[in-house]
Amino acid sequence: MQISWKGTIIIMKKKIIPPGRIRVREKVMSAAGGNADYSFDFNLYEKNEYIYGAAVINGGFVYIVIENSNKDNDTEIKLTIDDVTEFRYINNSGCVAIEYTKSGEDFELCRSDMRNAVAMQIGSKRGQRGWRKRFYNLPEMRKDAKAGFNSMLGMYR
Amino acid sequence: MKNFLDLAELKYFTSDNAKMYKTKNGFAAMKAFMPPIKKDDLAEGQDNTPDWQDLGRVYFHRMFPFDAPDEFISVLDKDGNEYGIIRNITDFSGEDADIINEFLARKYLCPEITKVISLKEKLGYSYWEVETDKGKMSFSMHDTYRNIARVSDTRLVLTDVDGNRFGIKDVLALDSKSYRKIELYL
Repeated sequence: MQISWKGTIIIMKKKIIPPGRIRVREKVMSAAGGNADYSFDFNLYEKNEYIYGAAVINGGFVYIVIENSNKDNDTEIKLTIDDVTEFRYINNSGCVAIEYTKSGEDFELCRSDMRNAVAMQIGSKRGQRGWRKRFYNLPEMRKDAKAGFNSMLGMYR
Repeated sequence: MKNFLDLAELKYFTSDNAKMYKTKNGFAAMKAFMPPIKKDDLAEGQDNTPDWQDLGRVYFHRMFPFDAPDEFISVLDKDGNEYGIIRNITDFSGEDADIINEFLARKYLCPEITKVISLKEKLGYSYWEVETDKGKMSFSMHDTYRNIARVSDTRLVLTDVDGNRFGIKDVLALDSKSYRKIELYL
């Protein structure tokens, strides 16, 4: 059984989830047009301050909303997956993060404590797969296989 | 031919041979006075004269996270290869030390428990409601006895079901009500 987004939010409200988290989720969902290939929450900011944040991967974009103390001024980010060359899941001690590489530079997408670790791990893979689906075509695969074969040969030379 | 000690040679970074800075996107990076980094064994014959070089983004890793959190900090590259070791953060001053401390705090998240508000046990799980230096928090632990690590006479580290860590700096310094609640597990 798959619960719709509306359904998930209703359940969250019933279970007395913090209103900030629900608001951020609603906001990110509306930014993504109500659809989500995958979504996850995160709860840490740059220097490990606790916040509410949510991310949605949908149709080649990553949408992020981070709660600010001023409700009208939440941080909203829309990232095109096509511009990203790599998504990485970073497992720290007691916290996790997703980083990405864009035009050869590293950026941090979001941070969370271990509560959302698995969801973020999947999120980073989904982002990477979204990118690969677009660019990792058959000639690329052949090139990789050939390079792998050559390096293997090099080992035995 | 290299002997064993040459292979195991350690490079210590101090303020004389290393300078920290932040990249454009806010990550820790370092410039160091050291021999050129060898990417592979083919670079064996290259000139080894030390020189200032930009190592780019670096990662800090505590070698003794509980016993000596500010000492013996390994400086690693993206792939986990070690550039060298910071013997003590006090070897650096000002902005350099701030950058190291900031990135260690980012890597090691461990809220310190100051008060235990409630502690209930049910079906093998314990449910904690605590006050920490980062605010009020609640978490649950499975197999509580095993997941409370006593790292020194007074310091405890608790690991919850998700893998979050919570520390108690001095268990004896807690108020009597809090101590009574966790005494059972010590």
